[in-house]
Amino acid sequence: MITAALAAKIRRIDISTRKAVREAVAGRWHSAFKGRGMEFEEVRPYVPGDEVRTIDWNVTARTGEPHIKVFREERELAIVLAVDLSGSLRYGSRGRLKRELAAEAAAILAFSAVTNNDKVGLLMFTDRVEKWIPPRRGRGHVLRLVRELLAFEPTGRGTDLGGSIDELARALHRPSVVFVVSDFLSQGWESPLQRASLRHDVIPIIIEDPAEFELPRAGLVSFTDPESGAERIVDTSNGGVRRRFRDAAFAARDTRDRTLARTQLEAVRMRTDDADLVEPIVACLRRREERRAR
Amino acid sequence: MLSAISFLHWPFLLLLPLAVAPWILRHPRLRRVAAIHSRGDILSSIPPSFRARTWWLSPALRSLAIALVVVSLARPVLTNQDSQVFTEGAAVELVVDRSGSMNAEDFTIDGKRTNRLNAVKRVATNFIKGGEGLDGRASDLVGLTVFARFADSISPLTTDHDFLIEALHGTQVATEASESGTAIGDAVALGVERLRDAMESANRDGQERVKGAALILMTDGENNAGDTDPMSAAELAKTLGVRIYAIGVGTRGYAPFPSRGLNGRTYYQQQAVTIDEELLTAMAEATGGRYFRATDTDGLAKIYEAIDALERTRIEQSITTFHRDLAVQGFRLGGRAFPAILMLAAACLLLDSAVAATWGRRIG
Repeated sequence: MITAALAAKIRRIDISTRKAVREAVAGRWHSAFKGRGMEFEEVRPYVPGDEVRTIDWNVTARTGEPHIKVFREERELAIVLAVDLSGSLRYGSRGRLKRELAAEAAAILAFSAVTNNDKVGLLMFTDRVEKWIPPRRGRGHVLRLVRELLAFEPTGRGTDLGGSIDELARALHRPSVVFVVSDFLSQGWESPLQRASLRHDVIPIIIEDPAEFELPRAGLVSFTDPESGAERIVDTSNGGVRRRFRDAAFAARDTRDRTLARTQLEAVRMRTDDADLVEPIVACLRRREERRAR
Repeated sequence: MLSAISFLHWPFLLLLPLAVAPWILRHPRLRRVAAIHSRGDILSSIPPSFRARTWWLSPALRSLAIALVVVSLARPVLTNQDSQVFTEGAAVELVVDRSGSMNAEDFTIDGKRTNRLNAVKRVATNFIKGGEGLDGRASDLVGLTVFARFADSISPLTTDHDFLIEALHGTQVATEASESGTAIGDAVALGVERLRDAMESANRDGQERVKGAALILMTDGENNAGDTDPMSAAELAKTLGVRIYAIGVGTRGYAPFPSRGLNGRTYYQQQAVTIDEELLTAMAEATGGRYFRATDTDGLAKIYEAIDALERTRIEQSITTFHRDLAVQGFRLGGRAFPAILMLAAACLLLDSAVAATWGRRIG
């Protein structure tokens, strides 16, 4: 069911990302992901505006007419968005939920992909695979994906990041680009991520919220853990409690970052108070480009 | 004064389990979850502050309030029974034979052989103070006269029963030859005299505080001393309205009498028991009393029970009952003042609100 609010949201994401994608992402998209191998498709007469570099001098000499070589990308690229919908993403202290942030980020990636005529697939998971939409091309398909991202109600609450990645890797027949959008707050995802990256181009996108590191000062708060449902009354104004929380949260983040570093994957970090989501994606693409150039 | 709390509508007490509701309603499934946090794992690992640890204050106060309201519904009343007991005491004179023959050991106390006087002391004590199936004669005037050859008034009629029992236990069997004899007539006459004195002084100003007089005569022999004919004494008793309960103490046939040999050892001699039962019966019946024969301690106790029942004093109780509805009226219990129960419930709720607005103020 598409409510008016949901439709408006999809439109907003579409418009805002379309512009950003055209301006910032588009040029880098393929160079960031694609191999250099281009497949020759045909030779056709030169029309003004064609790249002069692509003129096929042999054919031009033979025919007396300027001809150019047209290449096709060696393989069509499939982008897969693996989006974590577990309970811990149903949280956000700054304007949007982590889940919404994840959906927006995934939407930007999906629109970027479709703008570049790539296929986009979507995997939504919690402690199980909630929904798998195989990669397809086309703007209509992407709009459907965005709708699913925003409106899908998962049945599970927990997180099984590793298992979901393993399942995704099994489902993908061809090497693909896999964006793993998650808060990485679970355990046991390191080796599945590494396994998947042997065959696929895996890019973790880490979703964070500032309040996950610094408790808001709100006196006594009865917090419910969205995944376990456990309840805990926390004195958020208590200095000792705040300090302990901060220390533990940063320690957990350091552990996670070290684990990610071991996988040698290029991660993108996003926070719910980030205004510009395109920028970190562009930065990531740029880094990949540079690495490729080297 | 008797205080008791009772519940007039006690079935409401079945609602008491409602008091656990505040705890059950805290369950996350039954509540709108107000605040969630994705790092529940970290939050759970942090030791809670003191403030967070007092979370139970609110549900506890609410539980207490509910419990108090339920108790109030059950309508507790404090019943103060102010009972005044008007007893009409009787006057009882014990006339105890202490002649040499009372040494005969044909009675037992707690399985041990003992002499008649000890058995009499034991049972008479129970009769006066209560115990071993007897209620005691708390409101009675009791006096003691002992006799052998001569009759002695040991204690005038008194309500100081402790003193009387002490005097009774101080009584020794007469062993002197000069004392040997059994002056039943003198003793009864003396006892009746004492009764008359006591009743006269008790009922002096026209009030009948002491109603009924009884003389309990315990003897094991025949009247063989004294100046007063036993039947004359009985007539005297009858004239004064004193009932004589005569108890013949001693087994039937022969009883073992201890006597000290020259070497200091105690020998027992079997001697015939001679109780002038005809005389005793006549004396008792002449005065409207009864004659009993006690052959052992149990029998003696039973006789006292019978006398106790016959000479039951009339007890009048006027009971004034005050009810206090504890739900709405303050009360005193165990020397402490308590406010009305509903007030307490209201105070709990008020305190809960105060705590919830300050110290326990909480989101979610």
